[in-house]
Amino acid sequence: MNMTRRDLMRAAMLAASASGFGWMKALAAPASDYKALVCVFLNGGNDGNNLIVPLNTDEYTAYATVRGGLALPKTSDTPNAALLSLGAPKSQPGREFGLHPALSALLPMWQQGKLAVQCNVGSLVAPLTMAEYKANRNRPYSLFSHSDQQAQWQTAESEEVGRTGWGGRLADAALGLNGGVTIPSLISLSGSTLFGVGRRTSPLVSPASGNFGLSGTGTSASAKARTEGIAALLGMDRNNILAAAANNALGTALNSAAIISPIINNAAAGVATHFTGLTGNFNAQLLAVAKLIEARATIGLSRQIFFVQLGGFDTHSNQISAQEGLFAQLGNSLAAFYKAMEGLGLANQVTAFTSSDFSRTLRPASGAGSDHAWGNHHMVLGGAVKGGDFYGAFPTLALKGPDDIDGAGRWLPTTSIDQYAATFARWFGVADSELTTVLPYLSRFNQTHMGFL
Amino acid sequence: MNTGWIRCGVALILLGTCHAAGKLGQFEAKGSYTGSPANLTLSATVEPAPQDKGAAGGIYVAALVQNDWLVLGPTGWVPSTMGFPAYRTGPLANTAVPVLSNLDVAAIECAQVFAGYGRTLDAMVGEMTYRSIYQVPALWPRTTPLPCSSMADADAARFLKQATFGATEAEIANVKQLGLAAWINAQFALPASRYPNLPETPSSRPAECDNICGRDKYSLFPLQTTFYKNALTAPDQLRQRVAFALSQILVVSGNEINMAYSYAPYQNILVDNAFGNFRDIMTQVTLSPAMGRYLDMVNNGKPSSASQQANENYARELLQLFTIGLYQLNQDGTVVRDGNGLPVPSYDEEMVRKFALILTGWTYPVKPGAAPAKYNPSYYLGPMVAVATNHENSSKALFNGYVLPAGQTPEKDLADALDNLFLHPNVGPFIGKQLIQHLVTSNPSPAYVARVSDAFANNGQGVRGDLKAVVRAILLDPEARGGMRSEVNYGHLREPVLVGTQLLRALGGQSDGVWLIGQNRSLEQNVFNSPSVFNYYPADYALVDGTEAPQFGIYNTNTAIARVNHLYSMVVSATATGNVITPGKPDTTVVGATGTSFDLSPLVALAGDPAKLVDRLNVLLLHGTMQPTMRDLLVKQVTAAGTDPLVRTRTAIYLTAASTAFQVER
Repeated sequence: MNMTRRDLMRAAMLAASASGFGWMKALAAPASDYKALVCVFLNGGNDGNNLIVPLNTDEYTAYATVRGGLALPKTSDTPNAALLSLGAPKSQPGREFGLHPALSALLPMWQQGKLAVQCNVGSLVAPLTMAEYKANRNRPYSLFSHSDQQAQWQTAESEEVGRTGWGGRLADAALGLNGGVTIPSLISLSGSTLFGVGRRTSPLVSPASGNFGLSGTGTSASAKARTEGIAALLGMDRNNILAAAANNALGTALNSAAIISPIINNAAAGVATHFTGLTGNFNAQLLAVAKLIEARATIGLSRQIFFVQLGGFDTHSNQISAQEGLFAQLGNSLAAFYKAMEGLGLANQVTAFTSSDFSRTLRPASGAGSDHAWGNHHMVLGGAVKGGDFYGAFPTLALKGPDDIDGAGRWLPTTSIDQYAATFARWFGVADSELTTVLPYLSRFNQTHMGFL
Repeated sequence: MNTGWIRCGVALILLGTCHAAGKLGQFEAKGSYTGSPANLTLSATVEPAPQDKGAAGGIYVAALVQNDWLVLGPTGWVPSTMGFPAYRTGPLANTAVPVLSNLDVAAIECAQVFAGYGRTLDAMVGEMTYRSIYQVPALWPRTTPLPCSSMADADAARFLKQATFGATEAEIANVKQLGLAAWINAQFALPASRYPNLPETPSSRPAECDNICGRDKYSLFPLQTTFYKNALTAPDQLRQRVAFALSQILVVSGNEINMAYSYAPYQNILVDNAFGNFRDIMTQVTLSPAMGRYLDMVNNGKPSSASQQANENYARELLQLFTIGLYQLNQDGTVVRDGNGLPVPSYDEEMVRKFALILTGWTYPVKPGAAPAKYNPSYYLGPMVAVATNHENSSKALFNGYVLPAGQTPEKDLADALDNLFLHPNVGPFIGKQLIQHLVTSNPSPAYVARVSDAFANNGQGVRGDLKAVVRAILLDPEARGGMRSEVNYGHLREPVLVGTQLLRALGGQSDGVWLIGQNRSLEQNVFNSPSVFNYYPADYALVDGTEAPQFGIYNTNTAIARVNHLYSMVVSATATGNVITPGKPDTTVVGATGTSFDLSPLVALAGDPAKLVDRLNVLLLHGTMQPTMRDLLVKQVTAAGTDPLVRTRTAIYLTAASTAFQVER
């Protein structure tokens, strides 16, 4: 984003006046038109093979035989150790699936039809058959590499390195709906994210709580000298691309922090009660999102996208206990978040979904872990979700089976990131004719959305 | 329309050609001696970018001879009266500029020539929306070029910002006396400042060891403080700086490993071999138990059945991050592309599997007193050891047609496979470019990368992988040198560690590291604790327009403010005792604690005249490159801050260091 002279003046004005933005409330959209998406990124490559497990005897036996020590038990004397039955997804009568037991907090949402599962979704350049894959045709770049597959999940560009994220492009598309509000419509509570970089917009990265704003602002001569000096420096050194980018980010930050900081630090926020007893950084991120949504009228955006992240999923070793601990955090905090949205009366207007680098090999690796794989299962949660169901095709859990690319249990995706993302984009309000602006590969696929929203 | 601008410093002893190309068009400015008695000739050519050719605009040329401006008007060179006529106006076309000749070399120390094109100056001034449009007016007439006599000082300071943890006045004098190459050689000869070994970390802390004892004996804390102490005061600055860069390429992180005593040996591999051979680093890193544990090569056994596979974690990152990278590279670091314009991968998944199998059969070193076993219990001193019976040793086809024979020992397989990898042509450009990015600039030209790759391939005596040759090539390259660089993508965002150390060294400060550890943790650079093997920030991070900018991986709206607030804590709000500022008081629980402090007396003495104070900071922090508009602003703000000389001084440092002129090191 290049900063216009108007942006610079605005940054200067706001930096000098901590009480700015009063005029913005007048632009607030009616609450009825509010929608938010929450991208929950499971950093490191979540093993989807233990997120959802088939429970029918034949399929479970096939799973348990290959997984060995990584298999989750179907029954157990230990409480909360066995897979939780989801029954049969609506679209798959006669089959039975189980959910990882550490996600028990989400089971009620499945039963209420508010939680759906997208099966075997991953990076694709175009629809891909096993024969084409084996002939080395149309493969996404750098499969199995963390950094590249994270980038592909966040950019929805798998042919070549993308520089903008689909969240950012969605924010671009929402510019019209969001009026003239200068707070970015995409807020990351987990640091820099390619997901949030748009062609015309850039994300706001906010802490989940704590100090977010210039220290030492005040009315003393020296405080004013410093604050005005910082604001004026933003307009200098514009020749150098790196310097301009640094100044642009600082300008956006100063524009937004005065509004955002009191919201994320509001201990009296109504949504906080739903998170009582939950701790940790990931929980803090979702709590901040809930607070920001509660305060949507103050922010004034009618479309918002949030990015939160939970790390540690690269379970090359010691997978069973590591994933269990992570899923407990994920499930408990997501369930609290959903209830908080219900409490605000916004359950139907807020949708959360998971993303991750890739799934992991069905076949265990030395060290009681698993290696990088490809197609993965993901969860979609919200009042508008057509839940209690699976979307896409569940792969055959067999080494060298029809879905396995190489004998290690790496599934060739049958749904692309583009199709998954487009489902959210449509719900968000992007017209069908505009979808390819957000998701440039979408037109290569016959089915342009998955139907879970 | 694009506008390009090149500035070329031509000192008498640095006669040569300066050339810039790319999106902005082509520019060349050069100097040469002609005639006898010797005189200097300056010339320039301007070639507008293809999309700008034929557009209405002007060709602008100026020269700075000694400290006098000359401009090239329609009728020839004339002394400047601060006006800046175009040499030619009308449709833009390739233009050779008439030479400025017969400069008397006896009377001048240096001369510089500038050339560029654009619309009229006024029109360009008014448009701020496209970054390259306003370059001509930005440099003219408001620019203050470095006086000739300070160009060498500025280059020495720039050099030290690249080669050390911060330029000090004493070291600048040292560099000027020795010359750059001799200074580098002197650094090569200094003994290494190493990390002390910690006692073996117990599985749980003994009851008699309290939190402070645990911090000092069983955490990374003592190694972090050692890092900062060495960064601030160790004589072997270049070694420490290169080792720090290597530690961000070959990453092991305490974020995942809680055995603190494994770290000193690992970091010492990088310190000891910073001027050694990259091939030795490959072996030692691969066999380090810290790395073995971090990326699961330790106890990576031969697959026992079809339902188990060799662990691919280390094999993959060895290829992807530590040696050759994802794509085939030309020696100039650019990516090799196929007929469809797509990058050509360096390896496939099958190659990862082969390396995973080659790397089977290694376990922890035998703990003194213990019996060797197939899977030794965890122990981190010394290299990992091989267990032949746990090694998969089938024949495998590797890179460049080499076939690893079947039936070899784990040691021989490892040596042969690493040799094969080391000879891969990617290693030089892949590692060399990253070292350039850590030390000098995020967007080196392909030619610069190629020169460094050449040094990696052959140190001049037929040796591949000699890091001395690589470091020398990086720091002495013409693209690294000069008193001031104004290419639009030059430089790099200072990583948080370097912001702190370079400020402290410039201000003559001291620190035991304790305060810096905490500050930089909140700026997302918690030393030795990167979030993953992809370092604190990804090596390939780029801006939306594709400009490479690795350090921007941890620069966002949150950390942008935090970086400014870091300076507030350090300089503005920190306790003052007289003129001594103490952002970090000595922590009484730390043995030998000195806290973090610096004495501002020399600057406070200048604060009666804000202009003098700002000018001094311009030299100390910006090697004299502060633009006049910024100088005007700072003088104004410092004056407005009040009459207290200490408050003025704090304000001036805060604003200078917060500016991108400092944050983006050029």
